[in-house]
Amino acid sequence: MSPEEQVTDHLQSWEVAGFLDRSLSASEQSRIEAHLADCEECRAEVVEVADLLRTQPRGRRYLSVGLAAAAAAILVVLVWPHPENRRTELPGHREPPLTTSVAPTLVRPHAATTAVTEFVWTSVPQADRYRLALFDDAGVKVWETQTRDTSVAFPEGIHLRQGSSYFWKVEARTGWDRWVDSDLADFSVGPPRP
Amino acid sequence: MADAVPAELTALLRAPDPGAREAAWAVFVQTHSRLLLHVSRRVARDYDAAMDAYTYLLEQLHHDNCRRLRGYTPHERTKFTTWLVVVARRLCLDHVRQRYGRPQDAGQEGSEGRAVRRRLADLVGEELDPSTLTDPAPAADPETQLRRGELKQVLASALSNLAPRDRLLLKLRFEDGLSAREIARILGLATPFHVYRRLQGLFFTLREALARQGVRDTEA
Repeated sequence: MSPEEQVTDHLQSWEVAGFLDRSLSASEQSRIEAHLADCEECRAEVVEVADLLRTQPRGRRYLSVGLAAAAAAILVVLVWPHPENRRTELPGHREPPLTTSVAPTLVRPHAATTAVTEFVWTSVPQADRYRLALFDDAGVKVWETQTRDTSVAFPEGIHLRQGSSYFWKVEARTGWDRWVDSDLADFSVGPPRP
Repeated sequence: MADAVPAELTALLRAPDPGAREAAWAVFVQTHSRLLLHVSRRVARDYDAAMDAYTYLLEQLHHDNCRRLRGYTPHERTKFTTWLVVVARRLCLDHVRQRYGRPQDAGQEGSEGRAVRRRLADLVGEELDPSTLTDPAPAADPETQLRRGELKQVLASALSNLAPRDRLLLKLRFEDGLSAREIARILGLATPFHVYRRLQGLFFTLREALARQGVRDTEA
């Protein structure tokens, strides 16, 4: 019988909330972590609630309505076009903001590898430039480069320590001052196979 | 410091008469309607279904003299809104399941789930046959079948000896397929780096445990 099948009692609402707010005692937190490790249903709930909280609309309606009305009134007074104080427009985002962005997916290197010769990732629609950063396991950036391609050769002059972990990510430029970054990927360099 | 019992909830639960209660209810809904709509939309996905779920949600929160809201127990540092999201999501899910039934694919592991578990096997050690983790189909010959069973037991044993927090981290990463950023947020780790560094430590521990069980020497 798998651990999932053994779970009968699911977490209560206060336990899920307390776990996510990190407001529980150490023993309670540990008990809930043990439950979550074995209970797929509660884990899915925690993941979903965490995402709901992350994406929740900020501010209260009456406050935002009031602020919006006040801001609108101020704008009408200050920005209403008067021929005598028309200003030159400042540079900025002219296009509507992008609401969806596809992040680059890192292809290789990953996991354990014997040698790193190049970095490869997937392309991002409308991206005209990619910026790659490589970090050591202390989070220190050891190399950074930019390219228009979705791969780049790793320069021989940079030495990677065998057995150490490295992390890398790629940012794709999709517009003026707009970058979409990948998740971090990790790899380690091991000795060549005999 | 969390808002232990927010003012709008206190006003609602302590309203002296029905008139005051309805007025307090209106304030409560006004204060939290955006959050409740956010939850309804997420659970239902479709506009009409979301509005139905929202209506059901308000009914249930208001029902029986706000019985569910009275179940809120202030807890130090726990936000009321976090608890409200949990309760609202559960109510919306109940409504959606009652009305539309459970999704047919619930509980079924897709190819994506198998892929992420295969990655765990890849990372723990290339000596381990990934299919021992994922493939319930019988092997071609009894010897291979036996070997798969043994390897599966060894890995299950190694995983069960990990601390609950570490097992949870591995499940979030390799069974649920969450990004390091999401895991860091859920487990309260400072950055995705901390997730990766912890994972590296766990891989090392698991490799050592597998090696002690002779997995390293069993490569054909």
